[in-house]
Amino acid sequence: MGRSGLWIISSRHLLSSDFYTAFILPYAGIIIKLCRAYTNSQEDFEDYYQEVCLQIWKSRNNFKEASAWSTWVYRISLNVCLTLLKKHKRAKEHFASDYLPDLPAEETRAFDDEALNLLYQAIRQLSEIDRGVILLYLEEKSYQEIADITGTNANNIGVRVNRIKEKLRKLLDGKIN
Amino acid sequence: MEKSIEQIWKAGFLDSKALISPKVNDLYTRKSEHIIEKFKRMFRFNLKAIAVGGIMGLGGLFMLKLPITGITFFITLAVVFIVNKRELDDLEKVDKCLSSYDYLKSFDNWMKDQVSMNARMAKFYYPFIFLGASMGLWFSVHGPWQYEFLFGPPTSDW
Repeated sequence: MGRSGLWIISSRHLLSSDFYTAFILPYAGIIIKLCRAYTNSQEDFEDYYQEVCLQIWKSRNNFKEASAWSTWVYRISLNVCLTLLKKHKRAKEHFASDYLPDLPAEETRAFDDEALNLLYQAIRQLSEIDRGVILLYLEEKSYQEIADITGTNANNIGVRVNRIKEKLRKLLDGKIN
Repeated sequence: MEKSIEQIWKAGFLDSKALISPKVNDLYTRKSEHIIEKFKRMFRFNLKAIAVGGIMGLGGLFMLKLPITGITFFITLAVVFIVNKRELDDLEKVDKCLSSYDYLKSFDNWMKDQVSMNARMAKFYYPFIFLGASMGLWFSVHGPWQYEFLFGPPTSDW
């Protein structure tokens, strides 16, 4: 009886079934891909990844079975990345000094594949929502799923994807053979 | 021939090293903090409800011309509020820098203290409220009417 209270908290929320292993790790791939698209450094990437995991855990009770768990995970991941990016931008504006030159963003060589690094660099130059849309498209999500995750209309997704692909082609023009 | 972005994407992620997830630091500690923060918010809300309920009860019972009941009710809730406010202050002192296990353990100890304290108080405040309500009715300006309403007309045995 001595540890009954602790056990209730532990078994319901923490230790008995490892939420991270069961519900987040199977989708770590897409979380990693999304977080990479919104960050320029390894430290930021790890922060974003951790925050996404925490938010998935926090909002697990709001999950409605109308959509797949994976869709729910994508949606939270995207929202967290967009929120953190906004926060970082605001912080940068707030602390920006007039005397410091605007340093170029640190380039990440996150992957061994050079073409993939270049593709990520190009994706990072897209608008915030476009980054999410193209990543989901590349993950072979249907237009309807992309619309559900990004909270937009499925009819616009096709047009949007084509426009983004065109932009990426221009950005990568001649860089990749 | 230039590769399409779809091909680059697929080829890049064929390498299993590309998708190694980073180590999640301190997730359990942060989860524990989240649980306890949620509990604290609820506890604070309950304390506010007790304070508001006590004041409104006092005003309402005075308006119903049952001042003794109102005062008893108010004093009881004030004592519950003060004791639990102290308990909450103690909870705020739990060190967040502890490991997740120690943090939960401290929380668990606090919870046991709090439950035993409230259980001991309940032995006094329920009878006190009952006594206050009975005396309030008995000594109220409409005493006989309310007494009759609750317990029936006085009999000749009285």
